[in-house]
Amino acid sequence: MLEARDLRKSFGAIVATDGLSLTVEHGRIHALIGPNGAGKSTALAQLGGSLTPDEGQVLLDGRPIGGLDEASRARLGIARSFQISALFPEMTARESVAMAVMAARPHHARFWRPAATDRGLTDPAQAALDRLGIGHLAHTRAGQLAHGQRRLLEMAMALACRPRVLLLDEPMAGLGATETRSLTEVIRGLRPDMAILLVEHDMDVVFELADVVTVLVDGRVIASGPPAAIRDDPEVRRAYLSEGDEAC
Amino acid sequence: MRAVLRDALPFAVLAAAPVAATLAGADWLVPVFTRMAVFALAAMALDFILGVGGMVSLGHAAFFALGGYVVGIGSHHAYDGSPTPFFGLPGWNDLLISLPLAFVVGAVIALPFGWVSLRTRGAYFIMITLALAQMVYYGLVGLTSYGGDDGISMWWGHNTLAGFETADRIVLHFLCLALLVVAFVVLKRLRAAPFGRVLDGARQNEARMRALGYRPLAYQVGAFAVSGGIVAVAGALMANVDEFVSPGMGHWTISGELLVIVILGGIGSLSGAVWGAVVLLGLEEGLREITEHWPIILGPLLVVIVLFARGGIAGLVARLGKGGGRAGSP
Repeated sequence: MLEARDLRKSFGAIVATDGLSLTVEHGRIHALIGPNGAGKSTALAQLGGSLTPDEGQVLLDGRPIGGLDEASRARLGIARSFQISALFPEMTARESVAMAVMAARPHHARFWRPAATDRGLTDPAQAALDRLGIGHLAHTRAGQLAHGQRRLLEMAMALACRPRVLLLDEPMAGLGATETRSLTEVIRGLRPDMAILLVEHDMDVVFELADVVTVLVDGRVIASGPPAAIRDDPEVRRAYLSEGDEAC
Repeated sequence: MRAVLRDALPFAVLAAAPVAATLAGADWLVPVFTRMAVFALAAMALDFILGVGGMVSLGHAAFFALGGYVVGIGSHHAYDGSPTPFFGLPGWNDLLISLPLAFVVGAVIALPFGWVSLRTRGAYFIMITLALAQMVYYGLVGLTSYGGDDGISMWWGHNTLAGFETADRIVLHFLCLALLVVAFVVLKRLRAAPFGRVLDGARQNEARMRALGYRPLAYQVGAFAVSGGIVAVAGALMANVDEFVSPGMGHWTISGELLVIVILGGIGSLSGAVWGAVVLLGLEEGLREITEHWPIILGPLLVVIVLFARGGIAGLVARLGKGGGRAGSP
């Protein structure tokens, strides 16, 4: 569904992405792992369109989308959650999600009607909050939410775009054990409906959810395959898993 | 309901004050209140892009002056019967022409100004809006056929409204106030509508808006144009109040004054712009009576108000309205 072909990106002398190729299939969760600074977020940014690769192609359903900006890709159904929660601090949780709902619906629909009372916006927004178990926080401002709740709101906004491809940048970062558990279940529940690319440091989550794992070190793919094979790959163990505790 | 009353309060002040002044035999005060309504209109349009859209324009005086010149140039040609330089059209002297024309001129000029300025953000945005406005200012100074530095005096009087005389000060005042109310209702609605929500979202987190699939720039430029158009309408009204236009209407100090009104009244509150205009122009007028060195008193006073009234006067009124004793304390 979403495919990257031989992406390369460097910042000055630093090669952040060095010939990255991967495919994310519908109904699958593809995990992208690697030590800090391996270029995972840079790769996500190139898929999402906020960064332009120096070389290589990004394809959606076989069509090149490399020339499209972030907004156009979002409209094609590529949604993104951010490593550091990127929210609207002054908006309530429901208003925030309503922004995502509004983006996904036909342009200029009901442009004159107050957004706050438009049930075409508020109902789906509330549903997305409920799905992530933060429905009771609908009227709390995003800036006043606790860290874990912000992570969940971040997810709710990505979901409300009704994406076909979901790019998740460390959704579990900073979550407690219970929250991690419930968010893992949410992501598992999304799997049949979309293609998911998951960047995550929590190896328990990765090996529980992923259908395919790609390991990135210094911008280069050193291994890619089913979780069981990756876990036993000697090169991966040396490069990454041995320092996994530190990375978490 | 309470919020509606709170919003209506500053408008009610502007409606009652000139009537009271006239009844008290001080009808020379009426234009003072009309000036407040006109500056409130311009400041409210600035607040829409500043408070909702996060765009700090220090160039809105340009649109104010352009609106004034729409009236001044039209009157000039209407009076001496000469054709205007615009396709040889005759001059105009009716508000039904000059106000819509001022809006269009303001919006059309604001469109490229906004587009260019929005290449940048923050302090650079402020400086570019200022620079563009200075271009307009010096352009008007260079208009020697329309008085250059001296501007255009309209001693033969006001625009008419659909042929009716607006020379009566009370009539002109309530015309300005009516337009102020219309602008408030429209801008408030626009702020709550998806258009305003997108602007608000872009102010809080522009990158996130793009990731959701929005292109905030189009909304921002659009809002800038609407704002410029409304400020030009205010300028056209100002020309009628003063019966005079000059490049001074486009001086950067006017842009600064509009910003002070917005901040004083409460950024993003829209109705606060009316409070800000009433208080600032009221203080200027009052202090001028006391001493010719009135800015020495006004400056520190403004600092104190901004420091201690979080959310401006509108915020202060809201807290008083809730009956809390905490009003005034930071």
